[in-house]
Amino acid sequence: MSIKLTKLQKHYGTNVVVNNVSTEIKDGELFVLLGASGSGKSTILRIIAGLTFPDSGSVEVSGKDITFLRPQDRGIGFVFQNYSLFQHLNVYKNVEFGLRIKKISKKECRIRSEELLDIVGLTGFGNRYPKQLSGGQQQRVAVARALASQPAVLLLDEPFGALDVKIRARMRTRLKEIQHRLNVTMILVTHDQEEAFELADRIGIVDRGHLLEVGTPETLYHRPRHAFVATFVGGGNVLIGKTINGQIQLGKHSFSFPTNTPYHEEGVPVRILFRPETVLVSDHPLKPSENLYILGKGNITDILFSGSQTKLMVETGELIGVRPLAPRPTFDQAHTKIEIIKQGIIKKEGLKIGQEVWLGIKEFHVLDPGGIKLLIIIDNLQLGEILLDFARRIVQKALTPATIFGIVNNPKKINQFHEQLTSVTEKYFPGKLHDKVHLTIGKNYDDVLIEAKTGNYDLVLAKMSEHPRKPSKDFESMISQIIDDARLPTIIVQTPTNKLETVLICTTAGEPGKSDVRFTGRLARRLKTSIKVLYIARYGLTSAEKKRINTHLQNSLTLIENLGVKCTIDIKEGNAVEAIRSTIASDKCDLIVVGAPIQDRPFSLKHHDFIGSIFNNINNPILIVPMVE
Amino acid sequence: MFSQPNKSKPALKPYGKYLLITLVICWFSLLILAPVLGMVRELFSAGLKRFFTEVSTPEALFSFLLTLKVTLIVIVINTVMGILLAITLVKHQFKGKLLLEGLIDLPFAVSPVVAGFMISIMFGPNSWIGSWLENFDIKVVYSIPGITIATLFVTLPFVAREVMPVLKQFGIESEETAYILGANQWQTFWMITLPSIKWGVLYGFTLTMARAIGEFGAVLVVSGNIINKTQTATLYIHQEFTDFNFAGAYAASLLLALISFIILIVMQSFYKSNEIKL
Repeated sequence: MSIKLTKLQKHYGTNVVVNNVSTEIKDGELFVLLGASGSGKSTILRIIAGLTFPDSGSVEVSGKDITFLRPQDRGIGFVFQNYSLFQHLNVYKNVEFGLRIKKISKKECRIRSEELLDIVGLTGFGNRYPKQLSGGQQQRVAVARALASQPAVLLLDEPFGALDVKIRARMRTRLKEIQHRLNVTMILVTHDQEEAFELADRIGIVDRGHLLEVGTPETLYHRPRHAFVATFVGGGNVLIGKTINGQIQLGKHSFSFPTNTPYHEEGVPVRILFRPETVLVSDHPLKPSENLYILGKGNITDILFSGSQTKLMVETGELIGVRPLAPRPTFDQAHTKIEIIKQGIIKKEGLKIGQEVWLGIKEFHVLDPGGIKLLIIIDNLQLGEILLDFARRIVQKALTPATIFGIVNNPKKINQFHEQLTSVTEKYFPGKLHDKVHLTIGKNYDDVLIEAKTGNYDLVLAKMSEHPRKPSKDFESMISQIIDDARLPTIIVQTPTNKLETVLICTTAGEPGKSDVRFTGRLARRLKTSIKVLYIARYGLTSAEKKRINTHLQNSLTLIENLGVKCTIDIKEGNAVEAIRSTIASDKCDLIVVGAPIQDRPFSLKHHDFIGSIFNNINNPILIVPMVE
Repeated sequence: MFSQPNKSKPALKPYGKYLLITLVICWFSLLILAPVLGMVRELFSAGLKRFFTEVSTPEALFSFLLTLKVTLIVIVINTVMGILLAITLVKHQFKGKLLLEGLIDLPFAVSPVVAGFMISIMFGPNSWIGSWLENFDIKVVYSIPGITIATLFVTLPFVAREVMPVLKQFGIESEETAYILGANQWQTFWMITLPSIKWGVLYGFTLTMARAIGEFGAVLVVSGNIINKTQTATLYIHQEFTDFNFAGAYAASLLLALISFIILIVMQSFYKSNEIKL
């Protein structure tokens, strides 16, 4: 039977487990929910089974709403990861449990259980107890038990997770056979990509509570829409070029958009995906043709032989201004690396590490246009104008969508506030820009936090309330949680800002930041600003420390310049605030960037001395980037 | 990789093993076997016939019967309540849960005599509850309800404490599976949960029974020790002993010990015969 999920939502406090999940599963389909552990896929399954109720949204089976029906009345089979067989009952009684509850006669029950044990290949095991069976056999008993009442839908939560690799492969084949034989709709949850691809008619990719994309294995592999899916499913190369004159600009090469590609505005980044097996490697220069896109020349850095295929890594310096997304670049990597898979034996072609080769791609796929999606928090209209003015600059330059989130505590004032916010928004985002923004109203900072976690944002903008030196406790804790919990980079604006041309990244003692450099590079690339990286040493440096910091700064410079962004670096000693002030004056910096380090205790604006002292002494907007590795 | 156990060096050398066994047996004999044997010898020096006459006096018979009755009531109530308590504490989250969890062990921590006093004060004729109950002609202190309450109090933790870890380990997925297969909560409890925790329940049940039979302190304070009215078996033994009727005390003691011993043996054999299946 078909299953329809509509806008399922489940939170525990401000922790969002299932986020706006909608999809339809067809009759007789084997649907796989694929995602990392903790992504919320098991919770979706539990909601369908009725073991957990959603906060909102609905579950329909064959058009009938069963969202709040008891699990007993749903007619759904469920197989848990650890099978949860009834240890005190033998195999017969386990399989017959559901039938006995329905008051079906003993004789009929036995006929049915014999039949099911035959289907799962366990004839003759009826009188054994679960403890006397192997893992694979227990799993088959669980499947037989779930199928006994002839459910319309069978749900399986990581059914092969506890089995060893060889048995797992055999179980998969058997499950597929059972599905064909009984034509039962199945939803299976797994984190194993290979398993998902082998079994599924269609796969749904789950990431942090979102159902990102649904499609056949073939579609998800060759034509995904999201970068997450492209990099999660299979090995692949994802490079980010730019739209210039309606063409894809990738380094010095320019390709036209393939047909059926989502529209890209002029100047925005284009993310292209090509699988390792579609790359052509040649020891002589390649000529572009209709089905061959030239990437340029590079050097082989790695050859990994694994039987039927060989993986090559080639480093190319010809892709300046291209941001590689996958394979994920290391921080000190100067050139773009391309992953290539060649089938069969390649010895004859004589490829060696260090050899110069020319690369071309036979086909590529363009992902949906990404963007730096903004969340703008407005808790006070008058002060909010300063923020909206700043936000407009970002939206205008980066051509990126934004959500304006207004907060009204008093429910009576919602309408009034909404009207005012609408008119202010129209003032700051006139004409075409207005299409980029979206208005939402919430009650308190907790709503903001949930929005930040559920909305797929990339950057948060907020304005310090009336007393910039003394933020309110709630505001501060919200910002701290957005950075610490939702792990979103956040810009805090203090006073009106006129321009946005140079960004200053400040790093200080301790582990020099990397996330801040990566994110700022990405932002600057879109905003077309230049970057200054400043290292502030509060005490005199030893020569070893100086060397380490220099390496880090050089790496940052390479990384940023490779993105096509202008960059300078500097080291200053002494007082941090003084150093930043003098750099702002000399380099005309507009936005200050600091990294919020991963630490044991929750991040707090006020209690972080470095960030706190910048807030207390400098009026420029500050971007705080949570460190992620 | 697991390292291979070192076969050339056993954990205990042979003489060490025998030394350990001898030590344990000596300690056990000194502490448990010797007093029992001493009691048996004392009794039989007076003759087996004396044993029967001593345990068949009306007072003795009454006290044993009273102990039996109280034990029966206590077992039923505390087994049911113990299971409920364990389920509540393991499966549900509520305010004051930590406090309740701590309070369960109070009967273990408080001396039974003190517990007896607490009950006397609470239900005594001068107390609010006591005077209210008197309106209905119900007397708690110096009567059988008091003895029962005192025994309930001291045996409260046994079933709950034995069932809680088993229930925790059992988890929730088997029950959820039963729900999905169509069983309601009641059916799930009887057919799935209870059979899975039955060893915990039975062990708690045995401990409750043994303690109920042997309880002395709390009962002494609450009952008033009135012969043929509120005198339980342990109180009877105490009485005989203080009246210098040692033969009577030995006879009753031996019988009481025998009853407890039989209960333990039955439980043990029950446990052993079912061990293979689990």
